[in-house]
Amino acid sequence: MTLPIENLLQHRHLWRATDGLEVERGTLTTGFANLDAALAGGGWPTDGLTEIIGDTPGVGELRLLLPALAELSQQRQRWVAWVAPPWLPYAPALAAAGMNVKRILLIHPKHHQDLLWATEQALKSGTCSAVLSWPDPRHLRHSDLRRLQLAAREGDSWGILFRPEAAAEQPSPAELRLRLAADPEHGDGSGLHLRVIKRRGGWPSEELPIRFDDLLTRRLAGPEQAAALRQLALWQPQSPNTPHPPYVNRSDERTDALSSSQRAYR
Amino acid sequence: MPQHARQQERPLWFCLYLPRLGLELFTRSLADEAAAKPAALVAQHRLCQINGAAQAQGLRPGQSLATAQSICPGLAVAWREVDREAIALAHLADWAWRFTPRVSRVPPDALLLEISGSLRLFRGLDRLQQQILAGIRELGYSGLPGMAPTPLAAVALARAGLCPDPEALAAELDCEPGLEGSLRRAWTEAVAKAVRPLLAHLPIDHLDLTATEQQRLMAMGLRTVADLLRLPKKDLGRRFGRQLLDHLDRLTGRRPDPREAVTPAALFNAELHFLEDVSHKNALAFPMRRLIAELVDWLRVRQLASGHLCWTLSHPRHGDAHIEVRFAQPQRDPARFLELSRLHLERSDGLPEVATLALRVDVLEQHSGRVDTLFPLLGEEDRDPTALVDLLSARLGRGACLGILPADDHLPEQAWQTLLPEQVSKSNRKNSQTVSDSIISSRIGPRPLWLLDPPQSLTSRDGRPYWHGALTLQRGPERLDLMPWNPARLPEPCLGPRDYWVAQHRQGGHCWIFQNLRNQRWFLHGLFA
Repeated sequence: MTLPIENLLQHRHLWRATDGLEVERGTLTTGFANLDAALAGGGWPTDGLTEIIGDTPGVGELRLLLPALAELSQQRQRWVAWVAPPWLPYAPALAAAGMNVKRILLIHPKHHQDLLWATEQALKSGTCSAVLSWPDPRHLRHSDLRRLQLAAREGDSWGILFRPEAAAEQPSPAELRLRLAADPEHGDGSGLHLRVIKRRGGWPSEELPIRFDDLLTRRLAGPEQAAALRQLALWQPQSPNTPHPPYVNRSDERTDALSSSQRAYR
Repeated sequence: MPQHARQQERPLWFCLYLPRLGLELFTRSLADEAAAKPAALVAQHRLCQINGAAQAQGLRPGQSLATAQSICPGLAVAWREVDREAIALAHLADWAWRFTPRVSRVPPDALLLEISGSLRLFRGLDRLQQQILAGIRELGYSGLPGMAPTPLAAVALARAGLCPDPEALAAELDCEPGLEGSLRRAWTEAVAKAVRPLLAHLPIDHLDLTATEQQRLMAMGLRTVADLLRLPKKDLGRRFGRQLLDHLDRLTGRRPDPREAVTPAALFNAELHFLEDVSHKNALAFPMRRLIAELVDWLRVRQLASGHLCWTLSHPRHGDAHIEVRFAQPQRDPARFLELSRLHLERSDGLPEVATLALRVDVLEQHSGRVDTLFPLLGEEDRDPTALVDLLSARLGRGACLGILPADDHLPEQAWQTLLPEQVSKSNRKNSQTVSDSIISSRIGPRPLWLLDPPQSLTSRDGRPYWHGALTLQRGPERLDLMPWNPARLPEPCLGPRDYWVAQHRQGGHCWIFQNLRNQRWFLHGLFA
């Protein structure tokens, strides 16, 4: 006699956490061995939504994606679209990182509705291998995320949304959600701390250290470095306890925050 | 001798008679169900052309407008405009040019095509006639065929509705299909034979004679062409003058009747007129589709493509409104033409009412003729990447979509350029990859992935830069100097030699800052994201 639970477990739509991380769908290696190991299928899910969550500008969010984006831009005749990037993607640095910059498409919508529309169109057109989008967190609703996730599936496109820290607590239909923070031990920009909040076929992960190896992390040659250190000494802080105004950064008001902090200094 | 043989070839004229050209100018802008409403063309307050629905209601050409409207209150009325008919006829002549290079107009409402040279290409007269009639129906006109060895006979037979049936002829015909000459000769002879009795019984009122001539001939008891031909030419000439004899000679082929062939138009320009003013944008969808289908057909025949459509909406009271639709790449895909045109139409102010919709295309390029692969990879190479750019720029505006390329300059502000995406794809031929390789060499310092344009001025205390708290300088300096001749669009505080540093801010991220050595001010120029 078989128990009802046995029958249920035979059902092919039921996934059990103990079954491991096998997925049939397309993934792309991240270029970081420990991150690959943590992700279902051993890489980025390139036909769904990925959320990059974090408040720190310049923490390494692009460098994390760059090996995969470079690979995508080289292998297929498809766009890598950037919808409403907060700053200008610097072409020489992207090219140096191995990206085919001719495949980059910058899209500057005028307001949030157009941003969502453009992101969705780009995702489902089937002519973008990846779509990076910086939506306004004040207006982003759960249903919008759902639409984007479906569009990404439809167009076989990798949607990457950049969202603030506050979004980490909200539910999301994205395939993969990563939270990034600066690495406190390596202050030289050589790495960051990453935590997987949501992934296919797995629980949230522990903190993963990511190590970069690029021009920023490579040391300058000997004599130049010595000269640099001499110069550097001139600029070292006189007293470590200089008071600073609180750091404001809500990525939806990134530019406002910058200007207000400047005003505070004056 | 071939030269001699060609001279002996008898021509074969096909006449396409458009009995309702004036009315169909207006009704063809309607989708089928709407075209079933009774409609009439009116000149001098009398009906001159009516459609089938109006005929079913009991209307007849020649009735006064007042009578017609009392019989059929829902009658849609268009006023005859001879100029527009002439334009439409010219447009149709242009269209008919695909069947033969020798097309001429017979104003006001017929076309003549010399088709003896096209018989082999279209594999027989029956098939050719089918294609011509199906094509004209597709355009929204009803056409009647006529064919004969002489142009005048072809026109007269078409107007009389007497046409030898090419399918019946084809059944009798036996010729070597491989030999062009024999196919041609067989057809022309078969048609000539079939036309002779038809022409003999043709009533003379279908001949192109003046009204007084016709009355006089009728008064003499002459009813058909055969009656006329039976009379001695000399006497006929004495009574009616040389003109009638001339006409008869040309009708029967005893005198040559050269026709001037039209030259095909170099640009596409078509318009659609509406029976009733259109006040809703959605109602323009069908007319737009019709014009786009004509355009695509026109482009296909000429092996051309276009990336620039100009729509004109016009109304006698509200003036004109223009809508320009641009594409990143010249093409001729009707679905994309329509999709973007509709998007542009929805965004535009348009007109409160539209009486005429026109489509003009004057930027033409050779069609690239991309061959579709037999087994396209699923959803991959078969989609045109420029379609997305067109779609996005249609809603977001031109310039909202940009491509980016490295430029050959050491100054970070000028080491990149934004271009329209189509320009980027054109620069594919140039090798711009080497430019960036030369700039980013191991000799120079790291470059950020985000650039602030223009550089953001930073506050400083005791000479130390601040951005979200104090910045810790980590690597540098790398000195960059502006060339004295550099015509940079830089603000004054940024001018001068610079020392670039990699600095860490309090949140742990890294930024790229520089100090202007001329005024000691700090600037944030990039983020190592």
